[in-house]
Amino acid sequence: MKWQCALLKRWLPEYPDGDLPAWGKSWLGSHVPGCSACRQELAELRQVIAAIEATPVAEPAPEFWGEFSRDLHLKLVQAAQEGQAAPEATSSRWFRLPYLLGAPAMAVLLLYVAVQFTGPGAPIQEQAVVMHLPAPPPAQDQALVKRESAAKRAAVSRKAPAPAAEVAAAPALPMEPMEQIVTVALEDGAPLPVEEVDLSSWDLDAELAGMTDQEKHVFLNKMHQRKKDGSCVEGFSFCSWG
Amino acid sequence: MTDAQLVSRSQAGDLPAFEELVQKYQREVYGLACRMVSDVEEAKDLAQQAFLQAFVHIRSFRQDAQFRTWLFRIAINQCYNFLKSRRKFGDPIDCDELNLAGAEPSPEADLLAQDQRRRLYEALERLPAKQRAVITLKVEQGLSYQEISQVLGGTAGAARVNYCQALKTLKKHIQTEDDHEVAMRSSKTVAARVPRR
Repeated sequence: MKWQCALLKRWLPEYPDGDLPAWGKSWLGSHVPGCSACRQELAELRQVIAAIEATPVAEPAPEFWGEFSRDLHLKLVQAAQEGQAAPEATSSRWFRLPYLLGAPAMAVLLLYVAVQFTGPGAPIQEQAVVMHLPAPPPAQDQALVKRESAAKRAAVSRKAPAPAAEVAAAPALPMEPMEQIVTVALEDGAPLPVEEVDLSSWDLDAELAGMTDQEKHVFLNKMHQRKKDGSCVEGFSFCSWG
Repeated sequence: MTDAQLVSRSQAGDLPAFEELVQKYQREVYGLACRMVSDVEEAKDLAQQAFLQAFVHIRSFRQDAQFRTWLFRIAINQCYNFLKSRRKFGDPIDCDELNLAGAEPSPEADLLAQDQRRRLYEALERLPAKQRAVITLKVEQGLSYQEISQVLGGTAGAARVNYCQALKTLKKHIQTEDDHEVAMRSSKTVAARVPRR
């Protein structure tokens, strides 16, 4: 019986016709009449409720409400004149301050992610940028003139294995940063267009693995020589992403 | 005119319509504040403040709930803020002050009613503010648990549990007061019987 009392105690204030589900009412109706502890508890709770109802807040004198209304009227008029009334709740929550602060933060985050995935050494360089130099105009900027003077260059395709006799590389090539973009010139008489080859995705070890020792030696010497005479151009990206 | 119509007119800036709402609910809001803070002057100020806040924010009221429960919510929040500041700065309550507001007819009935009221107010004062609010809203304002949950937040079930807990605590406090008084009377009687040397 006691476990039922413990369960039903919280519903006792609602007995017999309170805000309860039908099964709760029927359970109370079958339990309370036969349980002296619950009946006593119920009687005490009813006494408390009766005490509250019997002691209402004392009704103030009529002049109290007159004064109340006058004071409040003045305050309301003042509020209306000062235009304190809040604007209608039509503004979307997306235009509230936290969201407005969040938008730039989100933009910065997206920018960071974009740079992270498209930065140097990232997959975008797999595109093996091909830049065709235009025919030498008379008034080009100095960089282009310099390239022209280097004359008749061509790029080595990344996919095509470079002939050992024609391509040279710096001896310290493996130590060089991944961001290097090297423009390699071909032999004289080759067509003008120059291709920039992304060495970052060029597996030099794989290229060298297919060569004999002599071919490797010639290849590396040639690269070194080209770097010295300026036909091998190094370019750096704006930032290193380690 | 219904509450919804009056609220719509108030939202359009019609001050007399809002004052009609004030006239309609001023006693309930004042009574609620009185029960919450046990101080007639503060209750008056808090009730006025609640109506002022309601007027200032009437345009943000979307009539999803009843105006009455929305107004009670504002009043309860005002009372919570007041109680918080009073707890912070320490301002003892004088329960007798409330007795002065009532006009009791005969001296004997006056004494009994005052005693009963004093005990009840002291017991109410010892309740947590939320339980006091639940008791007042349920017993005096006659709100359902669903409406109480709209005023105080939480669920209807939580409001029911709070109400039951509040009644039990109140009962305990009143009984403690009774026991204390009985003990005081008996000790006075014993003291009177003891012969003085």
